[in-house]
Amino acid sequence: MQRNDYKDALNELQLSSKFCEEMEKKLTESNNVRSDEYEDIVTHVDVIKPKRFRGLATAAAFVLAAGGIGGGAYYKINAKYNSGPQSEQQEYDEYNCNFPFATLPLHDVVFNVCDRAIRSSVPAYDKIAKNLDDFFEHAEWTELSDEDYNVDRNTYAGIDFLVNEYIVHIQSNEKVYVSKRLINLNDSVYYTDDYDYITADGLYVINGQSENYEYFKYSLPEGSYKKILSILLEDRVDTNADFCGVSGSFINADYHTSKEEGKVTELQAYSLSYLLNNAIWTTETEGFEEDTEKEPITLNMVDNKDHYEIKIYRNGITYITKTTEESNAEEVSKQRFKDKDAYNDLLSTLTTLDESQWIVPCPIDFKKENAVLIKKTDGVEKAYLIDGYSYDSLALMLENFEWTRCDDVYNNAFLSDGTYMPVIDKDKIAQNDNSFTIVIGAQAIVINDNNMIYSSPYRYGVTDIDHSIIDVWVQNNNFQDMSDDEFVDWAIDNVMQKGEMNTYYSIYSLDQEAGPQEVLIKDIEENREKLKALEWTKLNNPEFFDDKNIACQMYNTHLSVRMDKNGIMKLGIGDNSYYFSTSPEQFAKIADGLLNYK
Amino acid sequence: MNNDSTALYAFRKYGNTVLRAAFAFCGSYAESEDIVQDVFLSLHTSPKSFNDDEHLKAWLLRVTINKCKNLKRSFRFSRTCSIDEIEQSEAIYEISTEGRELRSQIAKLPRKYAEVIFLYYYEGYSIKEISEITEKNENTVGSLLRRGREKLRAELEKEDESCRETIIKTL
Repeated sequence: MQRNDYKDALNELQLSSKFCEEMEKKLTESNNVRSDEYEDIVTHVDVIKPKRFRGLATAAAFVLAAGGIGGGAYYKINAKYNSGPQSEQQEYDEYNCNFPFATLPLHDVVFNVCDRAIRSSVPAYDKIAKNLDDFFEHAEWTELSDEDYNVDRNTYAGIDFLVNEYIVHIQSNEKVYVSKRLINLNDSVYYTDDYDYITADGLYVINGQSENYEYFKYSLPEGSYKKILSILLEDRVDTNADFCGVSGSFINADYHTSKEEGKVTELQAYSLSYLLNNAIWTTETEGFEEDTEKEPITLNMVDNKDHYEIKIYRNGITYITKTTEESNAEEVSKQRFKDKDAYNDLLSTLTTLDESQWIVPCPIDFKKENAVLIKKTDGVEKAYLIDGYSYDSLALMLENFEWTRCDDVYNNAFLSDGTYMPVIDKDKIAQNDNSFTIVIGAQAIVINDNNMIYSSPYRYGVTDIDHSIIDVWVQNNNFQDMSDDEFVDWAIDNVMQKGEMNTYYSIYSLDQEAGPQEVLIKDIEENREKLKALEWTKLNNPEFFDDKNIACQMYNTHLSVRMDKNGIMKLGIGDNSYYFSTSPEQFAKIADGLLNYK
Repeated sequence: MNNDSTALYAFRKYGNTVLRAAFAFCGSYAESEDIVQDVFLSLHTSPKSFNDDEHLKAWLLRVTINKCKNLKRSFRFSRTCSIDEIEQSEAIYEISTEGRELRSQIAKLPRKYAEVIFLYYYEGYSIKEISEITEKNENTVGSLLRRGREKLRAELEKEDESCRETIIKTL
């Protein structure tokens, strides 16, 4: 049935002229109060508190004109008068928006925006709430099937918000995922015909089956995401430049990087504006020599008759050349921004990346003095020490790689109750005989032969050239071969780090019933030396390790050391495990000491 | 808006609107006629001021809903709007009979659905606004709207089916 059919059918009814004449006569007669069932109509104006008091709103009031039998009240909200909950006499509009899955109030809802370089939480006051309400109400929502919407990717990019029991996530590809938790609302428990009944604990029972979650999937028309973003960011960031004397719109500016070139899109322009306008700039006065080692990010933009060429280098040095059309005069300035991540954020913004990818600085901490390389030689896995000049070379090499972080190691496995848990995708981190591991401190970095480097919880993409460089370096260098005992000593040193405040150790009493005691060790030098004093030998039979009788275990980032009561050690480096044994008698002697520290 | 002339002004402007709403809510021509009288006479008797026409109309609809609730009938299905009723009415006439079949289905709709269907389809109110007028939770309004639509569609399909059968039988 169309709206017009219904309306047309009713519009065919009309009051007769005779009836109208009689009514008009009665309505022009003097008012006589009649005693009938309508006497209790209320004519005064009431002030009533709003039904929902949202956390961010100050005290507000509804102004109502009450009428009708039984005090039934009607309030038509005029949004033009809504200028924020400032005083008691002002109207408060909740902007209840009719989504296809529910009607939800938008006023004061916090929208979390994660788009390229932008990370912002925007509360929807007044104008924003109104504009969002208008947009969502009039948008064309298309419901999607499970096949149309794959939510296995653990992507956080996009816009999300939480209202009542709904969590809504809007992706940049215009797909929308809504999860609804079915809860008992304290102030307005409702019951609709859609549900069979409500159980005592407040769970809604649908068709006889208990559900804790429902979820819905939709798509919005192309351009919707951009529109929503522009509404949310209107007062915070726009698409224009306003830094170091540069002005004009970023949209359609020409850009060139080591990876790509093209014209800046509207969505990219928001991030450029966000990064460059908010950066802390200092003017450099010494010299105008450009760094020729690395290709800069170049932007060419126009503002009326001024043309700007902006060259941004990795170290933050930026050259700005302004040419005025009329006079052909050229001004050149040298600036520097201090944010060390800004260059990579700019590069990421201007590079075509997958949703889970972002260009980042080298993620490895090189504050140690050495590293261990674990690789297979002639089919046998061995450990090698990298120190001195070799370690410095390694650090310099890795720091200069182009690292693209891929947040795709974990996928969402959806459970029957609508929640999801992250599950590691083992295919993405699978190793083969060509893989090797570099351990620096407690960080384990696995270099695979597919140009991916895995360092939990992320994996990183590097260029073909970068991968070749590290591969050749590893294969062609003669590093110091480590014995089993040296390797274990090195691991103990790095997992039990003196003064490491965030390292936790679990110590087990000989009395199995007591269970493990978790403690924070501030000074463990004595215990570390005791363990290193033992002679450790590699064990090729992991089945000797008694997982049910643990003497102690220690964890630090990607390293773990677990010892059973017989002195057998399981050394964990990333996802790999290595087993070593020592003299049970010798171990028993120091085990007491391990248990007695405080 | 002058209080003395409000009722007259309201009748001239919204008389037919109230008629159509009353019919949609109570499903009877005769009762619709009574309700129209009651609504405007009550405004005349107890004048009140309104911010604007929209405010006035909303109030009128609210009162119409309440008066329909007061009707001492438990089920609307016991009341059918027959062609006899309309033909005998002096207050109401049909401009056209094209929508008669749909009107008969509208009349059969239970009041709780009829209210929201009318406010949505005829008046074009949003669910939020309907919620304010009917004092129902918005989710309930949405649910009633959905159910009302399904019910109307089902009734209309049944009518179509019986018409098809009649046609087939007569062929």
